[in-house]
Amino acid sequence: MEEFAPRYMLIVDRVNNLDTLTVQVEMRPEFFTANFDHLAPLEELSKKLSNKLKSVLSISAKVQLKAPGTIQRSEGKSQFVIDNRIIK
Amino acid sequence: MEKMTVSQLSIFLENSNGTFLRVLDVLKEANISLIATTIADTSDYGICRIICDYPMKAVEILRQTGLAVAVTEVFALSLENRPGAAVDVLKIFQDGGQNLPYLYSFIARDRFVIVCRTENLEQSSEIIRNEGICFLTDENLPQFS
Repeated sequence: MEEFAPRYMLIVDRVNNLDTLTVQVEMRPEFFTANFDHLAPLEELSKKLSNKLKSVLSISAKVQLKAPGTIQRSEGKSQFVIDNRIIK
Repeated sequence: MEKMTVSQLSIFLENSNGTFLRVLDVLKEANISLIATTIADTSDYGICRIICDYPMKAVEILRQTGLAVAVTEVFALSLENRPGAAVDVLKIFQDGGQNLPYLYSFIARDRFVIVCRTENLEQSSEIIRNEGICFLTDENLPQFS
């Protein structure tokens, strides 16, 4: 999807014994144009990505839109997944 | 056609500590005065809308700091500060078939100013012109700071 930069972070967690997936994705600054002065286009964009992920992966993921340049850049080997699950 | 709108800044803000203060700090450093502001929010992020005295200067400076800023043309209708002023004007828009996705207001120099976006800029401009509604443009903004 051209609205997004190729920067993302997957956050895996466990809530009430169920694994959850949050996908943080950066928007491209050039797509933050005049239309983005209210929430509806952003919510639509988030929903569109969420539906696309579900159709490809067959799992539900929560999408979190991030401002351009805000996903942590790691030096050396890139980190794309944060696993917050505590496995007993 | 004569410009009948003001430039509004819309800034994407993540819902975390200090993001709005960062915006205000940048504007303070640049000696830019806020005239009106409002935030529309969800649990993860919000959009901060700002009317300020020098909008184009503000956009440039905010973008330099890496913030995602959009500029939108919105109407700033300058009304008498009296009961019923808002409803009288909004009825005119409704009768003209114009929906307003959002609206906020402020009082300055004894005038009640409604800032709003409409779905059709040209049709709304025609209504404002035909009805003789007072409006502000970017040139008027520095006098409010």
